[in-house]
This record gives sequence, structure tokens and C-alpha cells, in this order.
Amino acid sequence: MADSVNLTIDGKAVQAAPGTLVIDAAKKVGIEIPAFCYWEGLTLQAACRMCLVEVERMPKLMTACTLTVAEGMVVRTETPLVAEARKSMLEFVLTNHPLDCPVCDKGGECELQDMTFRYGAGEGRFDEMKVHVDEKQWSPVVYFDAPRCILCYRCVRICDEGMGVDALGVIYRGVVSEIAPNKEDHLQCDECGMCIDICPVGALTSGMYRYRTRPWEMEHTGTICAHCSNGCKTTLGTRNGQIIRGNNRDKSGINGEFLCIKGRYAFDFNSHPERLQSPLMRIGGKLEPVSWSRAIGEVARRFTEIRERGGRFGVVGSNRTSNEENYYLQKFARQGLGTNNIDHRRTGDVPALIDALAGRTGVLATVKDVYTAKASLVIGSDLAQQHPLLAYQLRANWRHHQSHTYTVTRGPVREDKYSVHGVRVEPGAELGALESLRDQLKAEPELVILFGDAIKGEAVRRLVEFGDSLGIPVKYICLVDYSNSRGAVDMGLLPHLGPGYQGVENPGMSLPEMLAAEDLDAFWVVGANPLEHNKLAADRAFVVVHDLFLTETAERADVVFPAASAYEKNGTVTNVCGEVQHLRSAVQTMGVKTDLEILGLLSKEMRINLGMWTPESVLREIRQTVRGYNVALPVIAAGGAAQSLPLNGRVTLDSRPELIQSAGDTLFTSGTLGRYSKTLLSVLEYPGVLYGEAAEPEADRR
Amino acid sequence: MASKIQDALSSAAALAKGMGVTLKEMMSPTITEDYPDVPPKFQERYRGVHVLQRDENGLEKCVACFLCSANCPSDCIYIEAAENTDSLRISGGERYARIYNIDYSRCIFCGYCVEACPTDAITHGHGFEIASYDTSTLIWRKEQLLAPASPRETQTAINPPPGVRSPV
Amino acid sequence: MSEPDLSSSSLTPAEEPTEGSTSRRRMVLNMGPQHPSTHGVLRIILELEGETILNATPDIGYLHTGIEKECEVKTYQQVVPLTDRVDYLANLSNNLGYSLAVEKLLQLEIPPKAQWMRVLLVELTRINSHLVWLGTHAMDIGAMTVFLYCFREREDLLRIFEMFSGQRMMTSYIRVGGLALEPPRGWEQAVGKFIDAFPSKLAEYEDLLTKNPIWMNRTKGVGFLALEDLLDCGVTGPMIRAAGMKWDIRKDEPYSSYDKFDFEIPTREASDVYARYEVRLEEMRQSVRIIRQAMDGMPEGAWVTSAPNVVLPEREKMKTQIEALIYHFKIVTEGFTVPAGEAYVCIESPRGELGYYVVSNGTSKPHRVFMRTPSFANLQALPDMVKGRLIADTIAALGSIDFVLGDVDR
Repeated sequence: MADSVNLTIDGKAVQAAPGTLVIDAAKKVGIEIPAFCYWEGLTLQAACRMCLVEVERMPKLMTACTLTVAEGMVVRTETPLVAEARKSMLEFVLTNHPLDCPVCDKGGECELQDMTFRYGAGEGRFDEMKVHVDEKQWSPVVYFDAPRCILCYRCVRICDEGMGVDALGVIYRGVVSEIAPNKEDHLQCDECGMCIDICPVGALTSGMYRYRTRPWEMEHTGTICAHCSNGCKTTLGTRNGQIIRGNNRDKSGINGEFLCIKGRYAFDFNSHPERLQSPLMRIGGKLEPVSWSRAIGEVARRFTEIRERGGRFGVVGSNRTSNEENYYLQKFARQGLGTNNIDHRRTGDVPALIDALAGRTGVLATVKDVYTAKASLVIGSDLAQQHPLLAYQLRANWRHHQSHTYTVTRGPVREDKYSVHGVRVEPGAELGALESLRDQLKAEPELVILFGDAIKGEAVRRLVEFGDSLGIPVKYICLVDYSNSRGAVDMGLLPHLGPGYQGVENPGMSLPEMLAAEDLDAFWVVGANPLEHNKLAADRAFVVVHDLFLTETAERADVVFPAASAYEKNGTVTNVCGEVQHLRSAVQTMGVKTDLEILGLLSKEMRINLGMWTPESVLREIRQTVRGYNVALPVIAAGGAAQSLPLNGRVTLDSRPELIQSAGDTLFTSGTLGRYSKTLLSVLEYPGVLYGEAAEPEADRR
Repeated sequence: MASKIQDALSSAAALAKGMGVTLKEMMSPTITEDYPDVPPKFQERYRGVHVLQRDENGLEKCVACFLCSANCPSDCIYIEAAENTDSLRISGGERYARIYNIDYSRCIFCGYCVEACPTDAITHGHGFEIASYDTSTLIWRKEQLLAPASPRETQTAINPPPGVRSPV
Repeated sequence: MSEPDLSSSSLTPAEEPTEGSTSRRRMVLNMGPQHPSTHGVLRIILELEGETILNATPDIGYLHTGIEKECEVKTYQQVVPLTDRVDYLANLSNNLGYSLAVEKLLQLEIPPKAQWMRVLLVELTRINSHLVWLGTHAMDIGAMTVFLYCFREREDLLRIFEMFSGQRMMTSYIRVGGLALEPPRGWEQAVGKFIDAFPSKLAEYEDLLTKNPIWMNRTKGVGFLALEDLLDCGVTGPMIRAAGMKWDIRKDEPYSSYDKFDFEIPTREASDVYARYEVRLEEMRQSVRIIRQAMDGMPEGAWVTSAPNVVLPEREKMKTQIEALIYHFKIVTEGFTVPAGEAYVCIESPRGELGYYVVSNGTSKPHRVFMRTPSFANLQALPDMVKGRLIADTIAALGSIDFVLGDVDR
């Protein structure tokens, strides 16, 4: 087989690898062949027949989306015959298309409109009555208007192949064919909205964006999803300071076209009516709204007073605030308040992995590695529920490259459908079970190991030893829960580790110790909710909370600062693979300030010099001082992801791995934040979507 | 000398001719319009203050498709759309304009919105007396722009609030 | 021409009186920007010695609207209402010039009816513009009556424009691809009535002015400038025709079917205010002639071209056919794209050569629209016209240039 095939498209000489489709080869030289049903990465359908081209020595027009290149092939895409074919195909597609453009959500970004305007006729010849079918609601998220559908099967394929959910199918035949859910009249699925965004027309519309506005009326801001740790890029469409929608249609970022329900629709916490918009202060036993200057002044006064009499502070950071805020907070605690009592909710044992891998290079996997690695091993995590992007990458890897996947989990997971080998284990027995896979793994050319909170402490070292013993290149991902959980560890929100995993003298108290310490004088919580299930033993502690909502912790507070959400601030976050990405402020809520600004104002009021508190200046300091964070700024600024590599030295480890506990969020929960998303709550309650009971036994193993 | 006399004579003749024109005009009927005592007459196509039309059932014709605001060269139309429900039906289509504002301090009455409207909802009326001492009052809301409801109108449609000046 | 030093008061002596001479002082006088005879916000800096003008410097920019720049952020069709506002006495001429330039880029064939209609409308515009010129010009010189009569006739014309387009001045009636709307019912009667009556009205103006000794004294020999000087300044239109040059773009580079019409180019040799008056009056007669031919020979057929990607579909089709609806939606929301390239089209506006230079980068918004406006070039002739003359002659000379400040500044 030759390395490349030579062909001619519209007079241009093209070289393409054997097996390349003509439509892709044409794209390479800048020739666009229109198509509805063709979608890179999905199986071929040849349903729409828009991509017909003329090929020399072929009797009829050929579909460019199924035709592979051949040596000496001569393709023409702009002949009168092809133009006529496109025109006729569009006429055919539009025969039963309703006159819905004025009310259709897709108007203005509709592929059918674009194609008709470019290739179609300006007038119709049919004036027969159109077949009408009423619109259906399949779930809180998905609405379907059958007459608008052009039956390109993109939704069916992305759901089945891309998501592995297989919730959509086609019913009836011929002219009355219709897309329909496979489960009676509703969708039993992830509610991810992939089918809606991939739909070239307005047949599938979302409950959130429905009839709200028009694409050209919105401003678009590309930022990072505020929910899980995968760090998907989401483009927020905003109008009048309201987020109207999120999507990733430009396929930018590490996630390409992928987004789950959280990135696409669960932005609505941002405009929740219970958002705090003014600082609160406990006056006469009740939390009353006060001015910013009064609240800042009060906290500064009390903190200064406690610091001067040598009182005990407890500082809790967040899994969701930006790197800059986390860095500034630990600097505030350590330098300003003189305490190492700083912690956050730990969800994965990253320090142990960093320690075990000390001194090596090329062992931390990126999101892309999950898509390209020849084999992957998932240990102790329900990837599809907790890390949807990694699960999507893994599935795409299997679809496109036939990669091998191994799972070692406590119960059935969706990866079982295509995994080479799935092992069920009792909690705690994960490491032992690996031995049964040793021979199979040894035969693989390379491996990516993704492990959850089941592997922590000493087990991480043993896992790395196991990986070493295989004799193949192995990369690791330590799974953590939230959007900046990894960043919180990297920035040193730990009692024993400073930024960049540098050990500190006199390690402070961990979070449970702070909660249990009766003599705590001040308890400062920045964007967390530790009192959700716990009680603060120190009754008389002065409690300061930064949060978006009046959470359980905030209700106990003496002063509450209304904080800006991740969609309202600039900065950087680090995803589960250590990839640093840029947050961009998309909207503003009246009355709130970013945590960084609150910290800065407090430091100013307390006369502590911690440096400038703009995201840019703090990032500059992070890049200069935090190990592994000297990431390429242009990459981040341009919306890309740059992996931080903190692997340069042994790390002091905490001897209590039991402090590490994943929250076990599912696709439809997102910690405290998820409680304020109407979308997530609506799909939780909707009947028939209690996904994840078990992979159906008859699940096809392809 | 003779030429001077001739000059004077021809000048006098020219002046007399001019006066003749003036005299003749004095006799012809006046064409001055007595606005505001008599309302001015407009051509059928006159582009005055907009009117948002209703259909034969009294429902609003506007379906909030945003085409008018997209076509507007002066960017003076602001719309917020919402969905009709079974209990609250405002327009004939699936969606309606929850907010429809025209900023008359920007509008240039070019008629592009009317051309763009696919449902004949927005039209130009013949109203023109919208001058105001306060530019903030020049942003007209949907209630001010809507055609008066017909008697057959259903209860769900919005009635113009009392005191709102009808644009026509 | 350098701007005189205005740092101190406008009555500063420009040179010290020499010993023994009578105390003659040069002084600088601002005429405008708020002066009734400057017809807009034009400021002319006059350097005077007594009543004699030593130098005159027009200072423009008081009406700068940034229209040319604004064109770059509007879609091609949205630019049309902007062109209305350039020369607000010849709106339709501006519509036409711009549309022709874009149509040249799009290589559109405009149906004969639309072309005839355009000719008819721009000739009505010419009469309209000349009426405003005549009325205000005569009033500046002291003939109040003419002003009233001219505006009476202009009122009829504005009604006709309103009948066609819906607005009296800012018509936006000529669009890329043809006309904005079908010509209204009864337009033939309205236009016919006007052109039947108009020649006799013209005769009345002549009765009032042409032989009037005051008029003649104020205008004859005033504002003279030789043809070469006029051409050096880039002057076009009635002003060079009044200096004996038979140049009219309608004849010399016909556009929009002007070659199918029979009309004369009036010229005079004197190149003074009176000659310009005579030329413009005769032009109105010729316009009537053209309009009559256009009405008599009005072809049947479409009033917009058939170009589905440019022109909005018929409303009836838009409401019944999905294809037409999609085209309507796309043209309205995104505008039509124009092939990359550049085009210059000039037409004979009432004031002279009106040119539109449109550069397209292949998108739906122009990359650049440059307007070669006649008023701007014509105004440059003013200083040479009035140098050495009296202040009162400035008024007459200004009026004879017939500029529109919106057209000068855009």
C-alpha cells in the first residue's frame, strides 16, 4: 500500500493517505463540499446526498462522504450537474419543511438555511399542504419538532456512538420516518444536549435556550465550565448580563465538540434568585445586609485583633476558585495571618502521585492522551458519571483507534460496554485485582492509568510500582472532583504543603481538625461548604464565609461576602490532568466581588502587603514561584490548555490518606453548586432518567 | 441718453411683469395647511410611528423573530422573546415578544423593519406627534405600539393600559 | 491658502498702518458657522479691507457625520438610508449613485422599468433641488416672493416622493437591485399633473427675476471665474456649464438608460452668477422633458431585478414558500455578500459629478465607501470667486455654487 494517493479535485492536485474520504481530502485543499449527515468522527450515513460530486469515469454522481480517494481520481465539485444536484436535493429536503424560520431557534445559525442560501433555489415549486406533527418534549432539556427534521441521523449517531447512551432511534419508514427516543416517549439519557447542538436544523431544541433570543443578539465568551474537574471549554452566550446558553460549537478547547449537561445547561446557578448580592453581617443574632466597607472593616478588625492576641485561625479554601485566588488565600493565611491551618476538601491524592513520580518526565497524561493512548486502565471510578469528558475521550479512542480499555471498579460502569476486561472488586481491593490483569497489560504497547479516590496514600506508590513492573510506558491521571480541585492542591491549600508541593515547617490543622478544635478563634471559609454535614465545635469562633449562596456554612457565619462565580471572573484554573486554562468573565452580577478582590481589600484594610491583587499580577507571581507553573502564557491567552508539570522532587506526604474522599457526584449533581441549578434539579426529578442502575445485560459488545 | 431711457423703461416693464405675477397669485386660492387646527393629510405609504398589528382573533401578530431589529440600520428595536403557553397565549405563533421597545430617539423611519417582518406585525402608522422634552420618554413600549384591541379580543391578550396614548 | 492667524481678536490689525496713510485696517470677519446665507453650518473666514474681500477661507467640518465610516459597519442594503442623508436635497440621486456602484460589483442587470423609474425620480429630484436653490438664492439676494413660490412647487414634489416611498425627504426608495417598493397606484396622475403645471411656474419665476434690474445688477458679472480655474478646483455640474463647457455625465457617460432619452445640455459663456441661474432654470425645463419621455415610454415589467441572493423575495412568496422565506431571513439578518473588488460610479447629481467608490472584501458589509461629492469640490472655487469683490457679492456667489453642507462634510 502506497503512503499517499494522488488525485485531482477541481483542478488542484491533492495528496491524501489511502482510505481518506474525498470530502476530507477536498477540505485539506480548501474546497468545501456541502454535507448535512457527514460528521467527522461518526460513522458514515450518506443520508442527505448533499455531497454529490462528479468523478471522471464514474457513470453517476458520487457521494463524497463515502468515496475514498484513489490514485489518479479526478473529482469536480462545481460543475453545473453538481450544482443542479445540490439544488434538487435541497428542494427535496425542503418539500416538507415548515415555514418556521421566524419562530425557530436555529434561525441565523441553521445549516439548512445556509445551504439553501448558497446552493438552493430562491423559490419553491411545491405548494401542497405540509405534513404536520406536533412538537414533543422528550425531557426537561430536549424538545423535538419532527417536521423540521431532515433525517441526517447526526443525533442518533452522536448519542449512540459518541455518548454511548443510545437513547435515540428512528421509527416508521419512508416519508413519515421520524427520530424518536428508544425508551417510549421520553429520553433515558445523560441529558447532555449533544444531539441538540449537532442538529443542523431546528428540529431538536433545548428547554433552556428555547425562544429566548437570536444568535446575533448575544455576545459570546469562551470560558471554562465551573463544575467538574475535566475543564471543558464552554462558550457562554450572554445578553443583557444574563447567560442565555453554553455550547462548544467551535470545537475549541480540550473537549472539542463535547460538553455534558453541566457545561451546556447548568450555568443557571449564576442567575439563581437566591444569589447573595450584598455582604451580610450578624447584628443582634441575625444576618443583616451591610455595606462592603463595613463588612470588610469588621473582618479586618476582628482578624487583626485575633492575630495580635495569638488566636487560632482556621482557613478553608475552595475547589472552585481560580488558581490566583487560591494562591493569594494561602499567602494571606501563611504570611498575613501567620498560620498553616489551611485546607480544602481533598478529593484525590495528587501529592502522593507527584511524590511517587518525582524526577520523571512524560508520565502525567493529558486529556488528549486518553484519546490517543493504545490502552487505558480505569481504577475505582465511574468515569462516565464523574468525568464525562475523559469517558468521552476513552470511548472515542475505542471507536476510532480500537484502543483497549480495562476497568477495575466496585460496580458496573458504562465503560464495561467496550472494555476488554472489567473486574469487579470490593472497596479497598483494587490494587490486588490488578494482578489478574498483569499479563494482558504487559502485552499492551502503552497505558494510561486513571485512578480515583480508591487509590490513595501508600497505594499510589504501589500503583506506580505496578506500572513500572509492566515494562511499558505508563502515564497517570489522579482523578479529582471539581473545576479547580487540582489547582487547589497545586496552589498549596494544604496544611503541610505550600504552593508547588513544597513542604512547610510546622504543618497546620487539617479541615476535620479545625472543625473539631474547640479553641478555634476564627474560621474563614472561602467558597466551600464544610458545615453541610458537620458541626463547628468552636461555638465562639468568628466565622467568615465567601459564597454565592446562603449555604449551611454561610448561615453559621458572622460575616458573609457575596462572591463572584467562575463565570464572572478572570483567572486560570487547572483541570484534572494539570492543564491550565483561562477563565474569562462573561457576565457581572450586581453587588458581588471576586474572591481575589475581597482578599485584596481585606489585606489592604489589615495593612498586610501581599502584592497586587489583579489576576494578571498574581498569575505572574505564580509563574515565577510555583513549581511547574511556568506555563506558556500565549497558549493560555489564546484559549488553549498548557499542562503544568510539578514533578521535581519528593513531596512531604500527609500520613492520613483517609482525609481524601471524593464526593461521588453524578452527571446530575455538582456539590453545593448543583443544588442551585434548576436544570440539574429538573433532570434529577424527571422520571426515567435515573441512569446508571446497571449497564443492561444485553448491552452490545462491539 | 436714449439708452438710459430705454433701460429705465425696460426695467419698469420687467418690474411690472413681476408685480403682475404677484398680483395673479394674490387672486389664486391659498394652499397653506392649517396644522395643528386641521390634521395634515398623508400619502398612503407615509412612514409614521409604528403600529404592532393584531390578527383577526385579537392575538398579536408579532412572534418575536428579531428580523426587524436585525434589519434596523439604527439599531433602535429591542426585543425579548418568550414562549406562549396554553394558559397564556399572546401571539399566534409559538413565541411572542415579552418586551418590544422602539427607541424613537434613534429611529429614522426608514421602513426596513416593516420590510423585514415576515408576519406583517410591524407596520408604519400615520402618527408623528411624538416630540418630547424628555428623551427617556421616547422609548416606546409594546403597550404603546400595539394596535387597539378589537372587542372580540380574548382575555389573555394585553390591553393597552389606561392613559397610554394610542399612536394612531 | 493658509488660515489667517486668529489667535487674538478678530479685529486685530493685520498690518500696522503706515505713517501718513489714512487709517485703513485689514480685519478678519467670521461669516458663519451660524449665518443664514451659508445654508448650513459653514464658516467662511473673510479677510477684509473695508468692504473689499482680500481673502476668503471656507472652514468646513461643522456637519461632519462620519457617514462614510459608518457605511463600513452596515450591510450593503442598510447603507442606502445613510446615502439619503449625505446630500439631503438630492436624496434619490445619492441612492442611485450608491446602488449603481454596488450593482456594478454584483454585475446585476436592472430591468428597464426600474431604470426608467429611476431616471424619472432623479429628474424630479433635480427639479426639487434646483427649486430649493432658486428660492433660497433669490431670498438671499432679496427676492422673498420667489422663495415662497419655489417652496410651493417643492411641496408638490415632496408629496410625490412621499407617495412613492413613504417619506418626503429620506426616501431610500432606490435600492440595490431596483426600487424599494412597487410604484404606487396613481403615480402617473400625480407626476403628470406636476409636470403639466410646472413649465408655467417656471415662466413665472422668469417673469419675477430674469429681467428684473435688481436681480441683474446683483448677479451679472458677479462671482466670475474662468473655466480653467473652475476645472482646476474640480468643479463640475451647472457651474462649468455656465462657463461654456458642455459636460454632463448623463450625456457623456450615460447610466441608467439616459442614452435613450432626448434632451439638451444648456450652456452659457459668462461664468457668472447670472449665467448659472440661467443654466439651472433651463435644466429644470430639460428635466421636465425627460420626465415626460419617461412617463410616455415607461416599459412594462419588473421593478426589481431577479437576483434571489440580493433582492428580498416577493412578500407573497415569502409567506408561502420555505425557500423564499429562508432567502428573506438570510438577506435580512446577514445581508447579501458582494464579490471582492472595487467600483466607481459617477452620476450627474443636481450639483455636479456625484461619485460612489465602493470597495468590497467579499463580505456582506462594504470595506470602504468613498463619496466623491460635488459640493465639496465646488466649494473650493469660492475664494477665487470673491477675492477683490464686496461682501455682498459673497452672498450671491455662495448661492450660485449651490452646495449642501451634508454633501461637503459627510
